[in-house]
Amino acid sequence: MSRIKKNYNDVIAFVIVIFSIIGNAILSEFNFFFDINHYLNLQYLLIYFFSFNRFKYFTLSTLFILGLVNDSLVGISLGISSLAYMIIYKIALYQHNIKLRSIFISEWFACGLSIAVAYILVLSIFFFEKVNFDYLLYFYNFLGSFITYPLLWVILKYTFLKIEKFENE
Amino acid sequence: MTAENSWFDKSAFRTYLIFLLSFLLIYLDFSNQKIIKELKKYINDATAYSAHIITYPIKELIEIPREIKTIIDLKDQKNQLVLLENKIEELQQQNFFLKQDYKKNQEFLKEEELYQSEVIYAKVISNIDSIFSNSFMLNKGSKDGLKIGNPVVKNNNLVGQISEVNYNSSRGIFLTDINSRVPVVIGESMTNAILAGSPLKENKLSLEFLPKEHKIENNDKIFTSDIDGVLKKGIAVGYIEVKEGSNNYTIHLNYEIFQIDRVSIFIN
Repeated sequence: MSRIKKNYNDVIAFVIVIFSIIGNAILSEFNFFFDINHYLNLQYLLIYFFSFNRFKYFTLSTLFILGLVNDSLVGISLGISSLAYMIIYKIALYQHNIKLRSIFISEWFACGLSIAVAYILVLSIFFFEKVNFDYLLYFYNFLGSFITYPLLWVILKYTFLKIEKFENE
Repeated sequence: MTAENSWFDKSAFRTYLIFLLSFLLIYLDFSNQKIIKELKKYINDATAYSAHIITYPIKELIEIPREIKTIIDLKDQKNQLVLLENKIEELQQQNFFLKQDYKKNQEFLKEEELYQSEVIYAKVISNIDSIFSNSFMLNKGSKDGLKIGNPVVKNNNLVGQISEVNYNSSRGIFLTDINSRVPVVIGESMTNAILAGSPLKENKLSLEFLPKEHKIENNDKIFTSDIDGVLKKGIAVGYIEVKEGSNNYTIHLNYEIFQIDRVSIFIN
């Protein structure tokens, strides 16, 4: 994917992330999807993907605000999601900068690492705040997210390449 | 060392600043600082209503099949109503029964008036099901008299409790939320226990602090207990299904979470 992207791609990417944050309310309307958020953190995956591929609107300040929105919606202390998003962004950016050639495996493992670091930080804060949490649930969520990333990668790459092609025509 | 590589260059400074700001916000929120508390109420109100407005068209689209089903059901109910009307006509001819009905209705209305004075009706503006919480946002807040801990019911079935109150909205946690703890009594034996949200258990519910020699039977009903002084006693919660040939049981709630659109909140 080219480094400089046209507006559509960036806007669509941003809208997708916003919907992944506020879309909980929609997903919960379907009984079938009700548990999906327990085994997959779509927001983290999307933020990693778009940050790694240098989409325009994915900056520290935007992620900070998106994090605040998520915290407010989910009902946890303000700043926790911002911190998690920014850590994922920083790791994605670092991985993007050090890569010599595009190897998917390294991108995938860096994604796993970023989610793991984000969760460790979030759980540490919960521990100090004395908020109840289940280690196992977070572990399953991490595994689910890690395993799903290649599938999401294929879908997003294909979709955004198609959009790019459409824009260039 | 160039300015770009220096640890205090502009971009790095911005990064440190924004990370520091996040930690500061977490600390202020955790330590219940008044300024952040007030600010959070406004932010929560704004995000709750914005999320509701953004997701409203999609939710309405999803609702269409359910609405169609309701219309079909209404047709059946209409037929039933016609039958009932015929019955009423029969009853009207019997003055004795009418008088009795009238008396009963008057008593019922009196009870209803008392009941209504303690209840606030609210609309669920969004359901939140994430790894962090299993909660819902209501369109009523502190301006309407809501307080933390108020029980939220739907058709006299306990749905959850209010966990956070803003000015024009509030957050309730479902019974299945990991932070939910509700004192309950079970079955005819009136066994006391705590109903806790357990995301990894079947139906995301478990019973804690059961007495050592407890006896749970299949289809035992679960009701709230007023032991903690917050909840009213006798609000229906669900029932227990005991698996044959084992001591394992599953707790079933009397409602489906996705069915909840309007709820009542007991404020006293």
